[in-house]
Amino acid sequence: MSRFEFFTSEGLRIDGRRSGELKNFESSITTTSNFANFSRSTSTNTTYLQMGQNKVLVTINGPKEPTNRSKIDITKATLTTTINISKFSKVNRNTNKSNLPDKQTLEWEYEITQLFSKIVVLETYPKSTISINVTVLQQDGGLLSAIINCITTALINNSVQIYDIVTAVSVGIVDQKHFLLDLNHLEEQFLSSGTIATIGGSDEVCLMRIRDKFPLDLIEEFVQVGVQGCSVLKHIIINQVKDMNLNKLVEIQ
Amino acid sequence: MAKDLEISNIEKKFIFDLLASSQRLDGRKSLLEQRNLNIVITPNKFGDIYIEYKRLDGSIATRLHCKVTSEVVKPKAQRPFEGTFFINCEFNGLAGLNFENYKVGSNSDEFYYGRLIESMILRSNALDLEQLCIIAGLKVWNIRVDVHVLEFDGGFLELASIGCMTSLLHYRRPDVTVRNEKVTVHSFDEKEGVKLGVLHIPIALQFNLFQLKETAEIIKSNSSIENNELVALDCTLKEDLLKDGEFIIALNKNREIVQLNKPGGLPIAALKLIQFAHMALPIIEEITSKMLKAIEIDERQRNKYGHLLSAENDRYAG
Amino acid sequence: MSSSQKILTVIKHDDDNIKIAENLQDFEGNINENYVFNSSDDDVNMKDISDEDSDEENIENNNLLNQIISPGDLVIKSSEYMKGHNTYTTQDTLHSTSNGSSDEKKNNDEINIYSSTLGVLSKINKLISVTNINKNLYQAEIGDHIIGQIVEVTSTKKWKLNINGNNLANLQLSSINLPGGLLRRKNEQDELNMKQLLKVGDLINCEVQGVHSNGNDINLHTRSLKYGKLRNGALIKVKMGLIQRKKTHTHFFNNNSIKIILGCNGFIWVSHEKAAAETVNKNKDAESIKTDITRIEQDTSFEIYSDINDPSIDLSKRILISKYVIIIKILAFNNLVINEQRINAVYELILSYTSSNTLSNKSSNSKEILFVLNDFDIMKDIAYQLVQGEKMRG
Repeated sequence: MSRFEFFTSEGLRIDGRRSGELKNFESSITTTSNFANFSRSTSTNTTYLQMGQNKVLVTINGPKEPTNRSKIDITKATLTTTINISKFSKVNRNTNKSNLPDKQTLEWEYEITQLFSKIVVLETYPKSTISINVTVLQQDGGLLSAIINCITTALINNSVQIYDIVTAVSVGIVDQKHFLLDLNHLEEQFLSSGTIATIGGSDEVCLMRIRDKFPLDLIEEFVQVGVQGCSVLKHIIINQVKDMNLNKLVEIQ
Repeated sequence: MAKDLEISNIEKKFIFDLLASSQRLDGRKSLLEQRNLNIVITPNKFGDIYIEYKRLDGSIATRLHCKVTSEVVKPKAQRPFEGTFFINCEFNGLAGLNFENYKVGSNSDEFYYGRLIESMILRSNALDLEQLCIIAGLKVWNIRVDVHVLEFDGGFLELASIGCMTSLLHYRRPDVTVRNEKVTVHSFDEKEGVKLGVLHIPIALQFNLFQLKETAEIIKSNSSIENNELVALDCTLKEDLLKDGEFIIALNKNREIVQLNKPGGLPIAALKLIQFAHMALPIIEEITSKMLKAIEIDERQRNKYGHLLSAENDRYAG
Repeated sequence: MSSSQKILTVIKHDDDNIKIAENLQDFEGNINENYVFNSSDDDVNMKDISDEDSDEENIENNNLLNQIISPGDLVIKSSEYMKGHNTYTTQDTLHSTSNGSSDEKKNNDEINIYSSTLGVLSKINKLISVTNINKNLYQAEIGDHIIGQIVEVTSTKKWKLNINGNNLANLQLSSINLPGGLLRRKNEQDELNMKQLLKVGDLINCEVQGVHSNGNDINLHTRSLKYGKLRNGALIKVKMGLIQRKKTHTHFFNNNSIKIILGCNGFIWVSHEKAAAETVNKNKDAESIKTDITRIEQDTSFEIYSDINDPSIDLSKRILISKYVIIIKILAFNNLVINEQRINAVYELILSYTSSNTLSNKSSNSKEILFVLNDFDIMKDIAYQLVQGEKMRG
């Protein structure tokens, strides 16, 4: 199939992980400024997430009064997403001269907007907009899952009301039998893979995306591995978010 | 699709109640029933196809025109051995009052569906691009499919994918001969056309989800046991506007998933998702056989006098 | 382990926080082992660290972590409680379908209350709500004393104000004091003059009159002498949550020459008050007899809508204002709750700081001292001293 051995007989992957092992997951919160911030929202903070070699920054602007009057929805808030994949994020520098996002990014924007407009409790913010701005600093495999996880963390950090935590992982398949969780870029390039996102660590699938040829009979196992990975990731995210905000709790009391 | 279209609350409720009692607005009796598929191949042309969904009373609900064209171009620098392929999906004023010319926003459903079909064919190698190479690095065939919506009442994704694949299967490009790096393109009078290398036939199917409860209840309930949503195939435009989520699967009859997309929307249980995937297979097999049959009939009509012109002798066994 | 290291790098400006982060690192192992901390006793048994001090703090941190509710967590399952802020409910249909018909009616009333944000539980009688840990946006309550910035003058006799909430607030023409007294009817001439009274960009000191439709429609009023247009000072925006709701939000400092308004929405106004001795009496009076209509009539003139700063404010007074601005910055930077006592305490610390630090070699009123105080390390140092001082006093 290819010159790489993606899953050795000892059960190790190309980067030394086991098949069901996640990449290291770190997230942190930085307020853009504690004071002297004279923008309209004094509160915007940036969430940084590192999932393996994926490095993603998310800022959430809002909920706020929309600048464009035509976008007002009287009953609920409107959600917009923009993704900026920086040109230096890949090994090969993107030579595309125009600053416009490519088609893949536009697809992701569409999917993420659709996904989070069911997760955010939009009814609590009538007549306002919430805009999610994603910046990708470095990309590895499973970028879409990293973006989704980072947006979830950012929504919590910005105390936007959500029904539950959304987590996403990428899953790949080797030799029609071994399933690998949370791919790196080599695995993503050569294996059939997909992304799956569930809500609240349960088996409710919010987003699923397979773009490669994939045997129909293996879909059950694929979903199973993905759902398990998501529920593990949920606990990791909750722990990290709590740790991040612990010092603020001390202040309150 | 078609965001300007407003549906009154009472009509919304009516359509929803109909769906809940597994009835459809256009008279179909089941949520999983599709409208009648009709493939019209224009005679004397290659790869020129009209594809329609007909309502029960025989009137045309949705009508698409797919046309394949080819030309000789210079290949892309990164892939000198491969031909190029391009799909152009166009919604214009013809499709209905709610579409405007040249106004497909990058964040709209139309854009998304167009991309889906393009990547469905490209990423799964449904079309053998290496066969389209004439001289490596210098001359390759560029295949282009134009999809125009002539009449629209839902079901774009299925029709566009069927239409693209049928026209690609049916199309013949002119034959070429290469002599001393000089390329001669023969007209159909000189040499018979060459079929394109279609390796497998992926067909997309869209499951539309309608939520029965409030979002909070659905997220928190144990959905593998409970019935939280309605699933309908082949929505009409009005139903399409009311849907809360979708699930798109593209399969071929070799039991391979070519694409699987659940772009956000209503969360559903993983088990149901798998069920849908398996449910799609017989439907897709049926559509594929329908497609192949239509092409075969057309072929036979074209070669009506083939046996007369044939130099082959009748043979008798024994 | 990795996450606490992250915390170390991100929040390195506060000594206290570093302590917390170090402790986090110690008990991180517990988190991995069991996610739910049921009782603190178990945690003590689980690890045997000889250092008692850190052990106690660990338990404290564990308790704190236990208190935090994450989105999607079930808060309570009951038929008695009502949902408040930051929660959503579902009917408990699972049981009603599985149980017999006799129990069905009883179970139908039962609702599950879930949290929709990261925060701590707060219970007022039967009302269950979750208080945000990150108080980012201002949620208006009737009677709050706030500061807003005019964003728009609408054609419907309203001003729209940015009050750091998710929507703009309305200030109606009929709810401001007009020159010539409270009881005067607003006529068309006033409507035409709206843009001259309050312009876009003006800062207004006002009170929340009413909150409608889930906290998204806010009406303000300035019908008291306390309220009105702000001038002769500077605005600082701090994070929500650093200012707590109190009886009074207007405080006087430095021999009553500095007036600080702590707006509930995180906007703070520091201004110079002329004729220090007089205004104190006046203001005390004003508060006691603020309902006295005749008085309002006397005092209300076009002057209160003037744009021009008081010409008597010279450089030394400006420096004094800037000093108080920096005091608030120091408190905000270190995430300390801002109140009257703390501002006074920091002011004293600054005085001692400048006298002990002879590097500036200038009088305490000079401009240089402001630059010195703007340094992050010095800010941290002052806050550390402040917290130590507060701990001493208990």
